[in-house]
Amino acid sequence: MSPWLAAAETEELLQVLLLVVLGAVACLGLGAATLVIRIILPRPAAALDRSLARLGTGRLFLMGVLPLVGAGLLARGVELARHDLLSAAYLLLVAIPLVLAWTGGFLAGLMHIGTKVRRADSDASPLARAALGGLVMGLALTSWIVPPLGLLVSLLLSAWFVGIGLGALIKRRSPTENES
Amino acid sequence: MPHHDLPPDVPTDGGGPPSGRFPGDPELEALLREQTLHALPLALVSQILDEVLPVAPTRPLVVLGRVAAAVVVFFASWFAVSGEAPALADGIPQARVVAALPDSLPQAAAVPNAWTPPVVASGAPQAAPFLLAGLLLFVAGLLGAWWLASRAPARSTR
Repeated sequence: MSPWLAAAETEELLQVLLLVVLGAVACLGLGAATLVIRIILPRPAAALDRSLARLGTGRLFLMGVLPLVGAGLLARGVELARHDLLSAAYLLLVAIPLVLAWTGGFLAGLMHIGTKVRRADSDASPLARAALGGLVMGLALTSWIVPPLGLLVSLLLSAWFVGIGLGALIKRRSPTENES
Repeated sequence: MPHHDLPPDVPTDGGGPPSGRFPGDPELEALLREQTLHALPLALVSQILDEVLPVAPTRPLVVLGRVAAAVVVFFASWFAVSGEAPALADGIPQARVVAALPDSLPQAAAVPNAWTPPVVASGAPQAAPFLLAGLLLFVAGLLGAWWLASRAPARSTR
């Protein structure tokens, strides 16, 4: 092997390693940011946790997938229509509420993932759980190496998040339902 | 009229190759093509209704859902095949639909004044099916989410 080839391979390897390290730091930072927001907003976080605990995974996915697909179709229609009023209405009535629901679901879902993947007998701190959740979530999104698999994982995760967010909203507006 | 009931080819007068089933009557060919294009989704919906509708429906919601599914399929197939709303036909190019017609039908390129797909100039008609379908799905999703969340058990089973 020539020295030039070896140097090029070393440089590529370093680039890949740098990418991996940066990705890991970004995932850990995402977990930490999630934890910070949960600390700042304890009541919404608690409502989201209750939504996650009360509704099953399949129910949450069903709750999220239809609005998500509908919003995607609407976005395509708005893009084709090229109408300012329609775009503003879509942004205010569909996109922003859906992003808020997704973000709320993300706050609860990431912690839930971090809790589920640790050992059952371990007593991990919230920071450790959040960081672990972010790391696992980032690793899950590397499935985009195979685009259909990445699309499936992203759709499942996004629908789950939206379902958690909608579940928290609905529960808060109906405080007398199903409480034991 | 099924395509296998059509009359046989009429020989031409020797002025070139035969151009289709009715080479001497472009209007008849165009009419036949248009009627076939509109008969396809109707036959499809009839088949779907036969398949999905139970003989003795028991739950109204189930029947309603199946009828709604059949209606959605009907409009999707109508839009895709008839070309009246070409946006839905983005994934099913109309040229492919026309090319997939039986060989016994006349070829549009060889027939003067034959039926041609309509050309949509502006983006608004293309956006309409997406807006309609997206709005329906979004609203149905929100209502379904409310329905699911309001009927969730009080305690988690996980």
